[in-house]
Order: sequence, then structure tokens, then C-alpha cells
Amino acid sequence: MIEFNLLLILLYVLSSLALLSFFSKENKWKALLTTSLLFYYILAGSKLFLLVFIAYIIYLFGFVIQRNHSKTKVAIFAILIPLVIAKVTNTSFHFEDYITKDVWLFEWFKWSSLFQIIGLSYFTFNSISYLIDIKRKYIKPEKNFFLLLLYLIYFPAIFSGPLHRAKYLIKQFEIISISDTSISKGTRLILFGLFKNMVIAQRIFSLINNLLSTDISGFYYLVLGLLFFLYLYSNFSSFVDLFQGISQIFGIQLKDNFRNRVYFSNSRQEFWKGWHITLNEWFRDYFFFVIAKYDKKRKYTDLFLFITFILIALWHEVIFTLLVWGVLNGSWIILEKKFDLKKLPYAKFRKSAGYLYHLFFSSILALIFISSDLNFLVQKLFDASFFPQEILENELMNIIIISCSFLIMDYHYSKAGNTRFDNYLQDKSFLNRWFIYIKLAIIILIFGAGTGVDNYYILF
Amino acid sequence: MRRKKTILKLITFGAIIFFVGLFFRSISPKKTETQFSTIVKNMNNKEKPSYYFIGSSRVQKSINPAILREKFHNQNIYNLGISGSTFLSNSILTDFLIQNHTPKVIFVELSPIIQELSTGLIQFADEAELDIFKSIHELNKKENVLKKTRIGINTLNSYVFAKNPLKKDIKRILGVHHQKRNKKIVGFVPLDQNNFESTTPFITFNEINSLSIKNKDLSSYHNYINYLLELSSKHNTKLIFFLPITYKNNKEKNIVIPLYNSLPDSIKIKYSKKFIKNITNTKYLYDNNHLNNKGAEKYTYLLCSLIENYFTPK
Repeated sequence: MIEFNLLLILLYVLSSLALLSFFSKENKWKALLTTSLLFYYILAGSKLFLLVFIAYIIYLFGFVIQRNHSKTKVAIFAILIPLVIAKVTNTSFHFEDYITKDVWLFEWFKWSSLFQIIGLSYFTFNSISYLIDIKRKYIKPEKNFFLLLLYLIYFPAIFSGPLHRAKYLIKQFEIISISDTSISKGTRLILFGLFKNMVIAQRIFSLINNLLSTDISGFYYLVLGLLFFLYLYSNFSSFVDLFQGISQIFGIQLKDNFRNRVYFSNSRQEFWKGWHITLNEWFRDYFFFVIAKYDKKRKYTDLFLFITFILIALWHEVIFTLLVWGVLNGSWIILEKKFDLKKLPYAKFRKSAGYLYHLFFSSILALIFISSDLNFLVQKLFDASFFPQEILENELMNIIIISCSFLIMDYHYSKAGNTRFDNYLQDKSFLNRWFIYIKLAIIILIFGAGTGVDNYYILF
Repeated sequence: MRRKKTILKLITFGAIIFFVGLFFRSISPKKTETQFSTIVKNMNNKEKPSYYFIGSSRVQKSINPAILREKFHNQNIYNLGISGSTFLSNSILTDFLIQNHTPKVIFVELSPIIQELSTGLIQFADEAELDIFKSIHELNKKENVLKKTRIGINTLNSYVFAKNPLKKDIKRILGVHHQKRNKKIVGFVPLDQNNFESTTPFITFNEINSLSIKNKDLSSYHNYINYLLELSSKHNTKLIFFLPITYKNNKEKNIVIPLYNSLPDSIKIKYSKKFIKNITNTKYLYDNNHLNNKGAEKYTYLLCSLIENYFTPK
């Protein structure tokens, strides 16, 4: 696990707030730029200077593309080079890196590869969207390099997104306003993010780790897949909640990246509409639509969709296992489109069965995601079923805490519907709201595992 | 006016949490003597020269001090393995032992540095009056400002979390403060089960002697080790480093093997081919990272012949 310790995050928020108070409204973004640069430097060291340099090249490219649209492809190709090198030269297996926090953390600051830079993916995706939006004349090149730099390196969004268009974020940077409401809403998201991350996700991860230390196999191995699926959701969405909350304190609203209760989707199509929304929108807008426009008769839509999923898979890591993961994901979506599940009879039953169907296949896909070797996975799945009983005994308390916390999270999401957690609380009575605050804080203090928040997606 | 409202809200929130904490404190049973106080008392027994094994849960589960005590007729042999300990924690504890207890020999496990402190070390530090931050300061004197900042923030963060009293109070209220045997924080932990059916966690003789595993940046490790060696020579303590015998993850070897090979023979335990062959057996594993009781017995007996020189007067 790669943790962002809470002290560092607290220091970021406090120093940003302190610095913001010294700047006039139109210059407040400069405070956020300063703290973003400083805290990114603390985490990534001198790699920061490389990112600033690349950001300057993107800044210049913006003007070149405005003058000459034909240069867009060259610019995008150039911007992609560092990310492609980083993906291709990183030969280690991401899940192994993630588990060995100790070793990885050590190497984090000493990457031998020049382009192994934390947050490079999101930096690159935002850069490409900026340049293509200029080409499409949605925006004009940003004249102020430092404002563009803040868009690319904004601390709450650089590590795992959400991805934003420059127009959306830069506009907000120019009107930063901290108010009692922004602090309240931000704190609510932070609290919920910490609860999901420290109580649910980190405890599930500990359970996964303990199960992986044993010879669990056969049918029971699927339990690992289900746990990892739930882990990915609670881990990644909580990290986004936390940084959405931090950003909200400054009056900057980051986009939502997950639909509430996305884990209870009843089809793969429904799932992808609510999972890592901004990345999927990015691939849709800047890849799928770009190639689809050449297919005027819509003959190859499925093929393009399939290629998009392969690319999303290989963005995670360029290894055979993830290629298989991409192929299966793409095929699943296409198959669902062909056999339109909504046409099946017994709507109520179809919906309930759909949850099980989706969870079952998602668990299998999740297993692929955490296996470095497909042979190993197949062998584990087809071995005689074995469940290490002592895990139940040793982890009983952990399992109870995870289950209860998950129910609490799901209860709030079921009540919130499609509303973001901070807005959902806004509609509650004062007493009810404060009861939820206190409840979450006490649960975090008592049952929170670890000393910070982590995010699996930082690896990518 | 609005700022006042926000501050008032935050203060109210903090106060409520504080009073809830006080309430739990008031109803939780009083603290009884912990495992640390016994260890600290034993450490102060200076009748015979003392010997310590320092490391992570792997040391906890692989070195049985009773066997060593019997073999070398010395009761002052301790397993001070601490769950979650890393090379930073190991170095802090070594620093403390050298300065306060002047043992004859300290055996230190080589493991990666994590810029965090294990909860076990922090709890132990409280009772043994170990000044963790002073030690961190000494160990990192030669590091650059950025590294010092990171290590300062990370260690302070883990320290603050370890001090959270609510968790302990709730555990006492629920009656789960008596730790399970396999979760004991400090000292030897014998485990009976055998949950892993492969010998992959064991390090091989070839791996230990492989010069192909390279790691160019071991400077922090060498800074720590040099500081400790200098200190130990001043206090007449011998420092011996050793490799863990099991590895959950192969990547760890990329750090510890080059580090081990960079150390002179006089300050490390050298596993022989026969040693590795004798311990490499699935029946000795508790899981993919730890030995079970049988494994600990075997490993400790095997270790006796490699370390007996340090126990016999010259």
C-alpha cells in the first residue's frame, strides 16, 4: 500500500489556507500553485522540475496548435512519449509493487527510470485534452503559463484524477472563494473519504493480504476476487472523496469519478458508466470519438470499443495478463450490447440476478487484475477447494468491522441516491447531520487501520 | 463573522470527540502491567552479558531464545523482534540498546527502510524511555533536507496515530486487550500451524551470493550502519547483521542482498549452503513470510553453530 500520511495532507490544507488568506481574490490561485509545487516536491523530489519543463512545452504547443492545427498530432505524440516510456520500461508487476509498500516506497524516490513520475498519467491526459480542446476551438491557449501549470499539477487532482478539462478547472481557479459552506461541504467529504479508506478499504486489504499468505484455492479463491473488487472501489473512490473534499474547502469543485453504489451494477455497461467516470469520458472524447468519426456507416463501432478497452487495460500496465483483462472487458461489454439484457423478461428478477451476475464476473476479472501469471490463476481456481480456517478465527473481528462499515456506507449511498455525500448531508437536519459527523469520526478513530490514506490507482 | 462560525463549528466538533474519548477512558478498565514492562525489567538484569536479536515479525517467529539460553547457559538472550519493524525501527532500537544497556552483541535483521515507525516500537519506547526522535535525528544526520523532511513528517504521523488512546480504551472495554499469541507485538511468537505448501519464500544460497542483484543507492543504509558501528565500538558492543530467511516478496531481496554483500564478513552472519538446505522445507512455514514453531526450532538450532563464537569468551 502506498500511503499519503494524514499529517502531510493536513499540512497541505493548513498551509494552503494560510497562504490563500494573503492573496487577493483574483490572485488566490497563486497560493494553490505554490503549495501544489511545494508538496509535490516533498513527495516526488526533483521529478517536479521535469514536470514543470514538460508543462512549459505544452504551454508552447498550445499556441502552435492554435496557429496550425496540423501540428496537433505531433504535439500529442511528443507529450505521450514520457508516459509510453514509463509504461513500457516498468517491468515490475503493479500488484506486487503495491503490496510491498516498503520496497516500493523506497524506490519511489529513487526510480532509475527517468519518467517513472508519480501522477504522470493524469498530467499527460489533462495535457492532451487541453491541446485537443484548443484544436477543436473549445478553448484558447492559456496565456498565463503558471495558471496552466496549476491546472496540470493541482495537488488534489494530480495523483489519481479526477480528470478535468482545462476550461472547467481554470475558470474555478480564477474565482477561488473560501466560505463556511465550502469548508463544511469539504470536511464532510474528507470525513467520508477517511472512513471509506481507513476503515473499509485498508481493512479489506489486510484481509486480502492475509488470505494471499495462505494456500487458499479452488472456489474460495473467488472470494479474493470479490474482496479485491470491493477494495478497489472503496479505496479509489475514498481517495477521490478526500481530495474532492480538500478542493471543496478552497471552493473548487472537482468532478465526480464514481456513481454511488456502483458496486451494485446489474450489467457491465451500467458499471462502466459509473466507474472512473472521468477517465472513461476522456477515452470516449479523445480516443473513441476521434477514430469513430472515420467510420461514418457505424460498421466498426464494436471494434473501436474493443480497442478502447484494450488501451485502458494497457494504460494500467503493459503486460499480457492485463491485455487479457482488457480483451475480456471489451468482449463482455460488446456481448452485453448484442444480447440486450434489458429485453429479458421478469424485470425485478432480472435486476436482482443482474447484481449477482455482475459481481460474479467482476470477481473473476478482479482476480486477473491481481495475478501476474495466468497459469497461476487458472491453477489456483481449479485446485481442490481449500479455505484456511484459522483466517476466520484470526480475522473475525476484522470481517465484522468491514461488514458493518460497508453497510453504513451503503446505507448512506442508498439514501443519497445520485447526490454527492456533502450535498446529501446538507439536506439533513442539524442534529442528524452532526450525529453522522460524530459517528464517522468515532468509527475512524477506533477502527481506522493504518496511518494515512492510500490509493491503488496511484500506481498507474 | 463567517470565519468565526466555521471556527466555532470545528471547536464544537473537536470538543465532542474529546468528551466521547474521555467517557470511554473513564469506563475502560485500568491498565495492567504489559509485556513491555517485563521485557524492560529483564533487560536491566546485568549479571551476565546480554545478547539481543532485533528485527521484524520474521525475527519474532524464527528465533527461539529459550533454545539459545539453554545452549549458551545464559539467561540474558532476548528476542526483541517487533511486529512491523523495519530497518529504521531496528536501528532506533539498536541505538537505544547500545547507549543504555551496553549488550555484548546485538544481532540486527537487514530489511528495507520504511519511513514509518511500528506501533510496537512506539509502545515499547514509552516504557523503556527510548527517545525515538532523538535517535531518528542522529541516524539521519547525513541525509539531505528533503529526506529529513519526509522522514520527519512520516515518523511524526505514525507516532501521533500510535498515541490514539481511543483504540486502546475500546479494546480494554471489549476485553480484547489481551493479545492473541500470534499478534504479540514484541518477542518470540511460536506458531503451530503450517499454512503454506511451497518453499518459494526461502532465500536460496545462490541468491545470497548473487552479485547480479545490484542496488546503487544504499547510502541511507550505510549511513545508519556506520553510525551504529561507530557507536557500538565506543560502548564495546558487537553488532552483527543477518538476512531474513523468508521473503514474502522477491523485490525485498533487491535491497537486502546487495546491502548484505556490501558489509564485511566480520559483521554479518553467513549462511552456509547446508544451512539453507536444512531449513528449506515447507513444514517449517507458518505462511509465506514466517516460520512456524517447528521452523523456529530448526532455524535457532542451525543458527547456534554460526553464532557460537560470540557467546564463548575469547
